[in-house]
Amino acid sequence: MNILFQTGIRLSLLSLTLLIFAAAVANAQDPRVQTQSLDHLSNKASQTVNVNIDERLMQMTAKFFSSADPDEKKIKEIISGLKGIYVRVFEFEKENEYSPADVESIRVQLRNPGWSPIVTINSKKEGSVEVYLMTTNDRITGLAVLAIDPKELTVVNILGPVDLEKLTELEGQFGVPVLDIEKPAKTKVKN
Amino acid sequence: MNNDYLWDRTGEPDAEVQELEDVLGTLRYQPQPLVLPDNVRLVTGRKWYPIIAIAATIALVVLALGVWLRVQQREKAAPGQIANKNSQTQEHQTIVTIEEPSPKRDNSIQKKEVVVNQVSQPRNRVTVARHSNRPSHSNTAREFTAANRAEAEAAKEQLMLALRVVSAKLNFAQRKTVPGNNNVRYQHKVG
Repeated sequence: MNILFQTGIRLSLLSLTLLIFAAAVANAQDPRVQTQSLDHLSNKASQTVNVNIDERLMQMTAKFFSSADPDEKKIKEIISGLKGIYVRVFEFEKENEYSPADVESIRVQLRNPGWSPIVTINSKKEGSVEVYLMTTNDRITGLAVLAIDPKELTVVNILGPVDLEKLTELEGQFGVPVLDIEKPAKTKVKN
Repeated sequence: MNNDYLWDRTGEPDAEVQELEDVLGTLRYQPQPLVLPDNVRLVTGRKWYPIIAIAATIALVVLALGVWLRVQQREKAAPGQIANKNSQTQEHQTIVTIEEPSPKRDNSIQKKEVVVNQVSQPRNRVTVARHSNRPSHSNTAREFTAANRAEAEAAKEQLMLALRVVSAKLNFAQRKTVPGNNNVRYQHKVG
C-alpha cells in the first residue's frame, strides 16, 4: 500500500512537472504575442484598430487577390505562407494615457527565447520603434513591431515565414518600405 | 538417553531438559485477541491516499487537456476584425496619411493620402467581428458562398489596413536607419 502511495505521489509530481515544462517550452517558442493586457486601453483610446486574421482566414482572403494584377500577386505571395497577422493600434488624445507597464507586458514576451531584436529606434520627438524577429532553425517564424509614441501605441505581430525579400518588393505598394537589414551573403549564379 | 525427545518429544526426557522445559514453558505463546492500549489511536484513512493521488493525477491531466482545448477554441473563434472610430456617426471616411519613400531612392518622402471607409461605433467601444461557425474548405473563390465572400472581402479590407499600419511603422524604421542617424541601434544581424 505504501508503495502504491509513493507511486501515486511521484506520478502526480512527474505529470505536473511535465505539464509546466511543456507549457514553458510551448510559450517560449510561440511567435504569437498576446495583447490581452492592453484591452483596458480601449476605454482610454480615442481610436482603436484591432486586426486579427488567422491562417484560415488569411488563406481564404488570399484567393481574393487577383493573380493578374502584379501588385496583388505580390501581396498574395507574401500572405500565402503566413499563419496570421495581428495588429493593435491605440491612439490617444492626450499623452501618457498608457503606462510603462502596458508596454512592458508586450516587451517581456519579446525577450523570450527565439525572439531577436533587429532594430531599435528611440526618438524623443517621434517615439520609438522596435522590430523583432523570431527564428527557428534559421527560418523566420515571426515578426513583431512595437511602436511607442506619446499618443499612440502600436503592436504588430505577423506569424509564419515572413519573407523579408518579398516584403521589400512591396515597396511603393501600400507604402511597404525596404527593410534596411543586412541579409546573409548569398552566392548568386548568373546564367 | 533417548535423543528423539528433543526432536519429536518421543522417548524419555532428560531431567535437565525437563526442568528447562518447565521453566521456559511459562513463556510459551498463548493464543489471545490483540488488545491495544487506550492511548494508541488507529489511523485508517491512509489507505485511500494512493487512490486520491491517482485520481488527482487524472484530474490534472484532464484539466490541462480542457484548458488546452479551450485555448484552441478561442484562437479559432477569435479571428475577425475591429476598426472603430470615436464619432457617433454610422459611417464616415478616414484619411490616413502614409509617408512613403520616393521611388527615386533619394531618401525623400512622399506623402500619400489613403481614404479608408470605416463603420463607426460609439466612442470607446470596440466591436469584434467573430468568424466562428464558418463553413470551411472552399477551393476557389467561385465556390464561396455569399456569406463567405462577404467575410473574405471584409478580411481583405482588414488585411490591407494591417499592411498599411505595418508599412507605416516600417517606413518610420527605414527613415531612421539612414546612415548618420545616431538614434538607431543595430542589435542583431539577420542570418
